[in-house]
Amino acid sequence: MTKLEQVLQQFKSEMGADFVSTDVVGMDGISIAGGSADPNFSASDAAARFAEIMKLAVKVSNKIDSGKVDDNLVTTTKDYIISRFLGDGSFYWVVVASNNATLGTMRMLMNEFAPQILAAIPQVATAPTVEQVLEKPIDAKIEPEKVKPARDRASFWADKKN
Amino acid sequence: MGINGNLKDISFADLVQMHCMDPRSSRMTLTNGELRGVTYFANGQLVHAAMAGKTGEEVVFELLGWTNGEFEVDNDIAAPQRTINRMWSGLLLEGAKRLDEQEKQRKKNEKVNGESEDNKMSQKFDEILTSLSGEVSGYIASALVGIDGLNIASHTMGTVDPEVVSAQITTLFRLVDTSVEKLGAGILEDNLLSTEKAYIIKRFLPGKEYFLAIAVNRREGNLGNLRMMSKMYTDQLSKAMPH
Repeated sequence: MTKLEQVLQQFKSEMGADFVSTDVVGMDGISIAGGSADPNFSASDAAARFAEIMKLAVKVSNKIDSGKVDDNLVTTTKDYIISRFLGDGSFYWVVVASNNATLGTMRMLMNEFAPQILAAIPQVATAPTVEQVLEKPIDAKIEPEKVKPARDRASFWADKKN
Repeated sequence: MGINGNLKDISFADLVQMHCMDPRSSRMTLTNGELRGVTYFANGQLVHAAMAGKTGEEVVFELLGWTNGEFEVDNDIAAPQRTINRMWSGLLLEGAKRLDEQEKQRKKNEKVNGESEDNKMSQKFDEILTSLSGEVSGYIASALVGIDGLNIASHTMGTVDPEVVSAQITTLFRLVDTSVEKLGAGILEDNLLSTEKAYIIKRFLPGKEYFLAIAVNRREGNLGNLRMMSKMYTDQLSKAMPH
């Protein structure tokens, strides 16, 4: 287990039963670490979709002169989804928790763990920052998902049952 | 022996035209609720009409507007007097023109009343947003926005252009909504964007055709207050919406 995975594992433990999923994602939408504890929630799909959302958020914030984007909180009837930039904006961190979670605690834990996660990102993992990505036009449209063949979504996040 | 029927099946104009093809004298009695009108025909012309103390062409013009009522025709009854001299065709033409003008006037009045209702509704939204501005700490601006990105109502304390902001955040809100749906993560309730300068919250009104957007100053704003107020005022705006 890498150092980054260890930090994320620790974060998951702190979150407790409300934890659903987390990923550290490059601005290309590819996760470098993380996974889902819920087999029905695809962490990789969330990573890709929220990369688009974070890019658009930066673009919108620039247009309305609102400064640097820190994070984006989505509240649904099921979950809280928080995505926040790490460091220079080459990566973002997305956390999904059930909406039984205490939002204040979730934000506090994310504030606490963000520097550790940033420090644990391997130095070889270089990726373009969101500003560099935004020099290219954003395609805000996300194509409908193609039906994928069934596969085992088990990851190191899934609680192992003996 | 005459005929009788209902104006739902044949119009008064058609009855006049039909009776003016016949040179015989006849009397046509029309009733509509409490109203009762009488018209007389002779030598292929409509020669007399009377209703509620009035006589002549005005009665015919009024009868032409009836779309409901019973009629009864008795043949070989002479008119007690002559109050109409205009040819039947000219009479019907003038009647049709008057009905057309009445219809135009009715539509115009409806439009004026409708615009007045719109103004009242717009005023109500403005009042709600003004009230909201006093209850949210660090308030910058708020808007009731259609999912097409156009503002229904807006309120701002600063130099923010609500039209530009609404158009931009609608794009983001729609992308978030689509993404949540595709991920199967439930139904989107709200979306809060935290930037260096502001917190911007967007929350759908029921039906997802409109949403409330509120922007507050990052330093003075309070997240809990902002989320609570967005819920409360979304409910108020929803109640003020026409259903």
